[in-house]
Amino acid sequence: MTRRLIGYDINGWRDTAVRNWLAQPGDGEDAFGEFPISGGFGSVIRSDGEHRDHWIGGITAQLAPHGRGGGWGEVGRPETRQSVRNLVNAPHEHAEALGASLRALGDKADIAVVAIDDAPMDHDAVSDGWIATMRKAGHRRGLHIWRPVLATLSALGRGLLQNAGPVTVICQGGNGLFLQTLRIRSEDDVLTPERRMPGELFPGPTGFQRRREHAEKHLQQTTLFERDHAALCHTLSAGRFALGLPHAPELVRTANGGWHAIPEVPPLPQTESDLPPELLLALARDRPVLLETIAKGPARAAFLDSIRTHCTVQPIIGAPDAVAHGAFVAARRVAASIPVYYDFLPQISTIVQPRNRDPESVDLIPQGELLPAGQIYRSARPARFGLQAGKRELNIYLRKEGEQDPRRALVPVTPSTSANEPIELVVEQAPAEGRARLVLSSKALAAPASVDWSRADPSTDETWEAILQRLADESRPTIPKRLVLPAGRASWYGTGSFQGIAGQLAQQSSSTKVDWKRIADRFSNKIEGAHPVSSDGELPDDARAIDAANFEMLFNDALNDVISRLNGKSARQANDSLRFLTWTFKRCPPLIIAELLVALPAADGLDRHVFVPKLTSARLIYQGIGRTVDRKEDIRSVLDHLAKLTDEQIKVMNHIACVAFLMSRSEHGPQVIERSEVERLARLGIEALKRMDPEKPGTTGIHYPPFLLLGLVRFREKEPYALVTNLSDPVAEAMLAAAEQEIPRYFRVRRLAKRNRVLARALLELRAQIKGRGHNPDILVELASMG
Amino acid sequence: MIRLARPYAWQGLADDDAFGPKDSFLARSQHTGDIPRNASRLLMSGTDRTQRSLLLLPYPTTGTSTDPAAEGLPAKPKPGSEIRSKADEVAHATLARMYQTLARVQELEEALDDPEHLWPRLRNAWNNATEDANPRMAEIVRQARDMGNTLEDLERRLRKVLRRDHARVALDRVNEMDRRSMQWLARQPGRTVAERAGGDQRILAIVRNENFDTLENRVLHAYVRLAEAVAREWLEEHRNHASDRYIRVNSFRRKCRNLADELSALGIGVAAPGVVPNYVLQDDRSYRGVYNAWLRLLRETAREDELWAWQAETWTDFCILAVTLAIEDLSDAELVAQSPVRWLSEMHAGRWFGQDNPLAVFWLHDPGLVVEVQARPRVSTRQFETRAVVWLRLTDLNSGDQRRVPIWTPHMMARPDPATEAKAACLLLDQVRRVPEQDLYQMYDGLVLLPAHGDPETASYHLGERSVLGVALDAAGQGLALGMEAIGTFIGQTVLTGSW
Repeated sequence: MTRRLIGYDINGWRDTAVRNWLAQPGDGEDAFGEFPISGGFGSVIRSDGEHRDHWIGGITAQLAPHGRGGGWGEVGRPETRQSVRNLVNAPHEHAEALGASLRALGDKADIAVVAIDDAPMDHDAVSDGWIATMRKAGHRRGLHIWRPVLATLSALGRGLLQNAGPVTVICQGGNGLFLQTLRIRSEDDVLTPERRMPGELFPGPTGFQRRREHAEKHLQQTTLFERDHAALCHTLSAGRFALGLPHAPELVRTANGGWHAIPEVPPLPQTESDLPPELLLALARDRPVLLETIAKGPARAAFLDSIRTHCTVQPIIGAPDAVAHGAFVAARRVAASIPVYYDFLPQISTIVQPRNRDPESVDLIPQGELLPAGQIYRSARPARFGLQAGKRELNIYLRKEGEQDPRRALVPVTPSTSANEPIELVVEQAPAEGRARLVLSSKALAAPASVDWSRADPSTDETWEAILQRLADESRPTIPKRLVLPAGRASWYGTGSFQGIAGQLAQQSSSTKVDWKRIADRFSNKIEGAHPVSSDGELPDDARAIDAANFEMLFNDALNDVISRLNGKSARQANDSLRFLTWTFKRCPPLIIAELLVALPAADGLDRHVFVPKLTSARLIYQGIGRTVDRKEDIRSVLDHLAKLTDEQIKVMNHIACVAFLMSRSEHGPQVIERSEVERLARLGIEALKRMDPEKPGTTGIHYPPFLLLGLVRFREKEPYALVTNLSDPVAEAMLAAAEQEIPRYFRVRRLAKRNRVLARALLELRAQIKGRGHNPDILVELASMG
Repeated sequence: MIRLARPYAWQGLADDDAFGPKDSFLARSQHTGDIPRNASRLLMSGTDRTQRSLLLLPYPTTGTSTDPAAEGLPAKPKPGSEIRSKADEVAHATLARMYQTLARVQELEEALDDPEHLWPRLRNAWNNATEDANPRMAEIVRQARDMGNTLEDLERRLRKVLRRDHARVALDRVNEMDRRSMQWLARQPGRTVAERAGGDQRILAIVRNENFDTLENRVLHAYVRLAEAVAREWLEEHRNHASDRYIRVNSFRRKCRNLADELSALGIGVAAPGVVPNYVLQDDRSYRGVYNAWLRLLRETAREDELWAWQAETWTDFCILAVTLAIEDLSDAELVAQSPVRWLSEMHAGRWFGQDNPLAVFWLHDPGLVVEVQARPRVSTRQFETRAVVWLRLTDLNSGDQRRVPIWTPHMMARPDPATEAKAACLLLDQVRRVPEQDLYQMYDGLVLLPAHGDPETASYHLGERSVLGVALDAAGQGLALGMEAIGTFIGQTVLTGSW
């Protein structure tokens, strides 16, 4: 049996269809051929029939008295009639009424094709609307295809276009011009249009709306319509004029039941309208131009002339029924299993989090993927992702090209998976229908789960970038804060019985012989948990100017003292002035820092240096460096020096303390250190931690191993996902094991409870940090304040 | 309620009189409580409280009835029945006329497929009906066209089920045993199975036998039997034709009869109407087609009774279309407005389509006239008194004057005399003009459309300024052609150029 095919051009200005069957009255059988069916000037009426309340469209609606004013009695109420052009852009809201428009032109077809404007819109909703609308018309299979594509198919079908290659298509619409550039592909001697990007709408006076407004304004001025606007809106004369059809005598019923012949609408005054530059650019290219308009007469001529003058080649002009004919050609192609047209697929992106990296946006459709219309794209190869162990649900974010807001879907998964379970993700998408679906399959899912774009939650009000940023922030492991020890006011001006250093500074700065040991001791001591100078080298904010000046004088004296020692002018061996300078932390002069670095080999007994008169001076060198060094190159050279030392040469009080300081206090420390160095130092730190005896009194050295390990965690400043246990990092595993092993030891000891509790807390925090979620970002400050 | 033998009758039937074959089955009621349940309302006038109605009463399918009292009418022939008497002949002729009228009305549905050219397409079909000897379209003709392949397909692959039966099976052929066959085996003498199997080495076991007596096959059987009977009736109606349609229906009838014989031979029963369709009937394409075709034929035969009872309504619809076509045919008539014609999914009391009023509005440019066709409208008191169901409302665009033309469409089983009818109608029209009325309009002319029974005739009657034309016409053949011409002439001359 011959299949029933129909192509529609429902635009609300002049609806038409072309179909291949027509009932023959009296014959009882359908004739088959190519039959154009007119739907009139696009209106639908609501008929309150005896049996039900339903919509009627097409010519029947155009001729009906419904909504044509009070002269027709009850049925003339304006609300019983609607213009299709007001409905056609929101088919999802008017499926019932538009379904009537389709039915009026032909129902229950095997294949139906409807034309849609190629312009930015809420594509999913429009698609769903047309699908529902076509269902209302009882069609077995319905497709909606872009107008420019249909105009091109008609031109191909009628032999107006005969060669492969690009073609510019310009369609005249109600509110302006639509521009699209298609490529004609030749495959197996069949020419098929290919759409590579969304079309554009250029609103302007070239549309039919302006002509219609002119006609309505003119008719309004005739006294007849003063009180009966409904009758005006639905006169055929206005519809005819908008499309440039010649005037035909029209009789309308006046509100009092009489009859009135409508006068002819005067021609529209000519106006010069400039084409938008994008259109001119498209016309300037040396390629065929196809023009499509449903208008006739002056309206058609005005449109064609406005384009023709800018064309470099003679444009191809489609017939007024080109779109309906093209839709019919499309239906015929579908019936014959010939590709109708190729469409690009809107890109679909989702967010995945690779191991040890921030979440990233992944495009699921390969670049340049094209698909014959009506077919469903299915990923050739599934995308593979891992599912993190222990997750109870998958949060899937989706973004679709052409859609403003991203969407989110939740897929519950079996939480018991211990290892990272692979998930395969397949995308299914139909080009023009806009539907998109992800199918996820994995052992972690009871059955393959599907995520439908249309059903995903659109309520997320974040942008895609904001989501990525938020997910990165949420998923990145925590980092202990950089340690900054504040400068203490009490150190300067005393507290209780203790006298501050301010007085001493005044006294010493005026004396010729400075007691450097005493000064250095005062600066190395903490009063109320703070040194006189902050670990960033700042003086207290409220230090008096005179005291600051005294400090500066003393500081310069100390510098001079050290320089004179370096120059060999002073034979003094005591390092006290140097020690004072190192206790001014980052304020320490670069010259001294450079010299400290020079003295490093001597500190390990590999060389000789003025700063290392005896072996115990090594502690000052290393810890001094730890306090003062901040420049990247300097830190690098310290680390390079450490790399040259064997494990046996590494001492807690010197090397470990030095690195602990560098990593925790310097902004640059975590940036400069390399992963291999982190691994080695972590191992050394763990070993040192195990050697410590919590029962031994005094703080000397016991807090340096946890200090170092926590400091090393700050390596995440450089590598955000470093040293996290569940990302299978062996160093992290070792650190976690050590922390878990050591914590009970510190809790067990009764003596020295206060000190050990701080250390135990540090180890607890270390454990939490290694697991990725620290609780106390200020742990380094706490640990440093302990000394 | 007063029973009327004609819409323009002066008096009602006496209480003990019954309707006869020469009568229209009409009645007028004075208020809504006065309307019998089996009546169909043709006209209404007045407000809800004082509503007066013109009613149509159904023809009895048996030829006689008590409600309404009727006797001497032809009885509706049974499907597939043969003509044995004069009465059978009359009944069959009535049935054929009914179907002719129906065919003209149903052509409207097909013409509606292209609403822009509705009336030209309908006129074209009617023109064909005036000259063409093509037998009428019917459901069975459609099925003869569409169902042939389906039946052939099913004949090749009748669905069967395997039924479990018990039988004595050779030992090496036993596939399945159940409780009963086990018990049987246990009762047999012998120690081993071989001994128990006896000399022929067979034991009781389950065998699977093909069985065709399934619901879907019973429906198929019922369908081919019904289709054969309906086809026979249709062929009887068009005995003298040798058209393609006749040949096709005839060959379909033979195919149905052969298949029915085959199905009987396979032991397949006949399904009763009203069976609940099973999975196969709903999902197998061919069986589903058969099931739906069966339902349609069943509905069709059931509908025949209703059609018979209400053929006067179908006649009125036919007349409405005839009048509209005649106006549309005028040279400078332009269709200004037209009510949506709602083709009903199910025929309702002889009516196939519903419409609002006016059905159509034409603009006659040359005389400057607007003509509205109104069918079964809500009418004024004076209009109601004429008891005409179809009206033309004419407005002169130049002067604003209005005229109304009543069109009576009485239907009766026996052929009426147009001259008598025209006279009766004209007398009523003359009387009615004296009924006071608020609206200003004139009534000069009237038209009576009557069944011609193959003998078309026109007769007019004049009384002063009033004149009524009686037209006897048929729904096919010469009777249709002449009738349409007479209506056209009436509208063209009498009405448009008539005095104002």
